[in-house]
Amino acid sequence: MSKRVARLAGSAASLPITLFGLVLTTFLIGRVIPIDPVIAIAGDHAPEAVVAHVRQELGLDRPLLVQFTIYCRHLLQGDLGSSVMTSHPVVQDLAHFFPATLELATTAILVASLVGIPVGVFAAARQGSRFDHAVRIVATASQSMPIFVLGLGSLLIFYVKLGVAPGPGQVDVAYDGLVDGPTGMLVLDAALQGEWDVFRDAAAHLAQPALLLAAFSFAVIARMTRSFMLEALAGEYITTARAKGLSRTRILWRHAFGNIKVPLVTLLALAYANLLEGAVVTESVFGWPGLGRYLTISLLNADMNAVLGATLVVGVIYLGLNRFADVAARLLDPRTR
Amino acid sequence: MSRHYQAWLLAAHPRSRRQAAWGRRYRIWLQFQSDRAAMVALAAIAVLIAVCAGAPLLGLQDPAVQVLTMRVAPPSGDHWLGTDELGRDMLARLVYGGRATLGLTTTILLLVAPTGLLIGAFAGFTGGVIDQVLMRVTDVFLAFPRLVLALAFVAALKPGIGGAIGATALTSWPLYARLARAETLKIRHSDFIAAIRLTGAGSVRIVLHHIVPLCLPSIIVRAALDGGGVMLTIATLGFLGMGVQPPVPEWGAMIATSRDLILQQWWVPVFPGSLVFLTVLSFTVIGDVLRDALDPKWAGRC
Repeated sequence: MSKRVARLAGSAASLPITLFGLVLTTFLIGRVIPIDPVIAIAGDHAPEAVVAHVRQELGLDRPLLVQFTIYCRHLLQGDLGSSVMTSHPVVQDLAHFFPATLELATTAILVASLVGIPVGVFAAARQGSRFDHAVRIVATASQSMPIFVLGLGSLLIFYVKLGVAPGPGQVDVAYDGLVDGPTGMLVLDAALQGEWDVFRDAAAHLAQPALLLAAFSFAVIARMTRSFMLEALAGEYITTARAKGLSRTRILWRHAFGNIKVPLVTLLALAYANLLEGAVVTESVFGWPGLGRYLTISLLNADMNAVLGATLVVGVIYLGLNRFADVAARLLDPRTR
Repeated sequence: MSRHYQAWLLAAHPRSRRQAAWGRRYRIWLQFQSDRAAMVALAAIAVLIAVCAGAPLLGLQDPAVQVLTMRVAPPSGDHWLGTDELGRDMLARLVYGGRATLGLTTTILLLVAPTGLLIGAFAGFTGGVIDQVLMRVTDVFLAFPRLVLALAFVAALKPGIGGAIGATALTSWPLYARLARAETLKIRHSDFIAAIRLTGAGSVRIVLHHIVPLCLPSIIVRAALDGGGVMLTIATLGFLGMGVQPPVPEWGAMIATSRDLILQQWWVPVFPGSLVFLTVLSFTVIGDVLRDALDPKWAGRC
């Protein structure tokens, strides 16, 4: 017990160090940018006095260490500066765009695990069968497919050729702004407020990008579930269970699957975190108004406050999910008790 | 003659260290060779690299010449794979685009794998403060999704070839350092290392001559598996407009500039798209089979 507490405490102590590193990294990236923020504000031909004044106002004439302290102090007050592009505070922008990404990624991970886990389990149960080979081929192929190629292809087939899917965006223009709910996730808000037309339209818009992202993590989930199951099925306790005459289903789901729950939780948390990366590209292809699109648009406009703010937030979420995976694995694993 | 070599390679009792080492490599190759998918993937990558490296010798058209009257022409005798949205020859652009995409991927792997290996091996072997600092630094780099961190670095380094190499390399090395460190920790306290130390070898000599060679197999497998990931990052940076800049052709950027053509002139974005897919797939297949051959624990599992 005390060992477990000590280990948890150890991992808790390294968390602030890593967080500090995250903040330092984004700060340093912000200082080495080739675009001089002073010129961006004062203009190309500003007189020297104006340039010096702006530089002083931005605090850029102070030593780097002082600048970093100020950056940290602002951060603690929840201030990431203002975006040049939207002229809102970056924090406000992030809060505005984040729910759409959360909606997309959560739908995707739900679909991917509901399909991927059973598929992985059955592939392992029938190792070497046609089904098993098919799963391996599909998983390897969808892992190698650039997500933007898959996205453009599916837009072409389902939106343009077949006309069964709606086009890019989160909702049809006609319904835009009708629902403004508590969660910011349009499908959920529309359902909560009983706006069923908006709900249907938003759900239809969500389906394509979410399924695409799901395909991206389905590959990882199915492959890893299969390999965890193969390892579990090779255990001697499985032979014992067989000798006792237990049914196949019971052995498969209770004895083998029961033992892979811990690595599976870790895997799902990591897959969820990795969807943040997939979301950047998917949102750009489907014009989805989320964090990823905010990041890429800010990048193209060299809006550094917005870029660094979004990067920092993504880093913190990613780190949090990774840590959650660690802690959950330790709490769930009976051997660490 | 070849019989003779085979007997030497497969000898059950190798007489020299060199014979044992080559024998092991030959057995790995035999296992690799027995997998048809892996051989097809290897052949595909070899052909692609040969074509891209020898591009100037192939007598292709100039990939930069625009013939605006010949925009988005379908495949024909003059232009085997048609032309793009500015009337440039697709075949030439695909080959030269491959030079950029494959060249960048290779450069990054050659840059990152040895650097990560050396950093990880030295840190793991020395231990103490250096090791702790290194682990915290890799923690920070691994705390970002790779693409997001690469995008932020590109913004800082300026979009372009240099920025793409720098950003992808900066986000890739921690994986190798962590792997090399883990391998080093496993053998650091072995008796043979103690024996070498007794003969008077210093840390640098031990790491370079005795630890690095033992880490190599896992680093090579990682590099093969990672090759696809690096290439996807390069192509994605290009697609988002943060990688190689036009008019230089690059597969990801070619897909981005022609994405609106997918409705009528589908071949313009589909060709570079399929090339990225097939190359990444080949990297993945080769990596999987290499891992099975070098580390039998994984065989058939994944």
